[in-house]
Amino acid sequence: MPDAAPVQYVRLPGRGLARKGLSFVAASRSSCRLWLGDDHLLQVESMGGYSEGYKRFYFRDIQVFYLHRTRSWFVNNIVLGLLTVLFLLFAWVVGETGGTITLGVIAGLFGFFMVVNLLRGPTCRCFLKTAVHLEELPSLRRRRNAEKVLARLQPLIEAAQGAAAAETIAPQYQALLASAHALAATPGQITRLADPAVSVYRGRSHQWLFITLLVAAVPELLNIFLPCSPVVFLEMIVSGILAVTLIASLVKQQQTDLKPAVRLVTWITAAAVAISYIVGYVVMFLITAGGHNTDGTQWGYIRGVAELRPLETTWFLVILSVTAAVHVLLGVTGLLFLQQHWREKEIAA
Amino acid sequence: MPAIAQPIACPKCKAVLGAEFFNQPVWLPCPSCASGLRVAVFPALFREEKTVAAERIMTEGEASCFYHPEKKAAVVCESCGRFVCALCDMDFNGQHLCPACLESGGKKGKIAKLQNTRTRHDRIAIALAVLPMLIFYFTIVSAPAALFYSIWHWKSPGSIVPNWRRLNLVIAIIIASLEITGWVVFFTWLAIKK
Repeated sequence: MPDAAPVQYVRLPGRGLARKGLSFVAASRSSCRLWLGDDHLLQVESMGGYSEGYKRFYFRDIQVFYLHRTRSWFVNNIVLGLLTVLFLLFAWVVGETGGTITLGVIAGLFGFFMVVNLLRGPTCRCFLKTAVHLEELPSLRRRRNAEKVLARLQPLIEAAQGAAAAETIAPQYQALLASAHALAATPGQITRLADPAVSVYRGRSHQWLFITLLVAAVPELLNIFLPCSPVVFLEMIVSGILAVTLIASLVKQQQTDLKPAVRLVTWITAAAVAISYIVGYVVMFLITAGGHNTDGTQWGYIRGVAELRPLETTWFLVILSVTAAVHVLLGVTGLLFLQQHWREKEIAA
Repeated sequence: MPAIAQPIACPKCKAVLGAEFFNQPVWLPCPSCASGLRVAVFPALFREEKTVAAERIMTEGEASCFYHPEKKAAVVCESCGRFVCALCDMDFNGQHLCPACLESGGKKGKIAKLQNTRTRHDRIAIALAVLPMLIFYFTIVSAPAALFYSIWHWKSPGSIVPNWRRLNLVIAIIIASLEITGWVVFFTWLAIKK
């Protein structure tokens, strides 16, 4: 069998994990790296380190190289920074050497990850398009690496295909748009391509989520005027139901045609719930530090919260009012957008 | 009929992008979702894929395709030397191969560029030698196994990209040998003690 001499590969910067299986929760992950061959780009996927899968992208077949900026870097820095500060605060207040050291180490770990993330630089996603597929390159999730690789690949691809001059590309692309009956998006007019991976949204999980948000506001408001243990207990139960419906909604909305506004409200809800959980921990910490006898149990904590009397404790009143307002706002907005989505679907049908 | 290439769309919101986004040295915001984009477009996007049709034999005595006797031979397979028509001619990286050679080349691993998976025997050998040390009793079985595995796969192909395959195998052999030596010493000591 004729075969040319073995290709001499040169490693390109970047390493990343590729998710496989389900869209929301990865069934498996493989580590990816890019290598530069003589006439192709090689993606090596290492499965558990014991086997490797190869994908080759020949320079002559590469049509488009996309880089898409993401906010992961910023979000991760904020989350890691908050966790660092939170654990430092716990470590400072706990007043016990063992606890201080443990919490300090945890804070240090979060701080270390934040510094690593800061140093690795802003994030992006990188896609490569050929005539038959659009492939994400998981190893290029940092802008610095992606730009380096693009700068290195561009002359090689142009050497294989010829340079792409702007004055020739524009009319050719106009012809392509015309043949595909598409218009380039402008701020006022957006044309979208149908995504084959998208399925029709079915189910009522978002409806339940937004209704639960509205219901959650009731015990929060009750807690302001009638603070007692049953109300706090009810608040906790509703909060648990909210978490369940939120997770179900986030899973259900993946790769569906659900209106982007509904998804956005769902993600904002997720952020709000995450913040409320952090605030909940801070409140618990303040109750413990404030001399309330919580006897270390959940029931003791419920009694501690009930004893706070929001109308006499300004900061707690602010927390409850803001939480209730956010829940009502998100619930109403979500239901309105969801109704709009269903109406649009009915009209389309 | 050649397939029409899809317009270029934002990977996030799928909004169709205009030519002003292409090959810019800076990040530009998507007109729909405002996320930063850099799009490098290459001439392959506008290339029309040619469809080939094999010619029929018109005159007697013309060479015919091995797989389609009624079709005119266009090239010779560079692997097996069979005549093949334009339809059966597989242009693979500048080489002209017939479908059978291409398939067997991929399956038997004779064409490196068709290989899609490889097993990292060197890492398996290392794992076999090192991991059982956590519960060291297991090494009585795993050490000979690691030694055997390393020698057995000494010549097996490793990763197609530069790696430390041989060094890993040597390390696995050394560790496995040390473990075996340890057990031999232990049993000898037991025997002498009795």
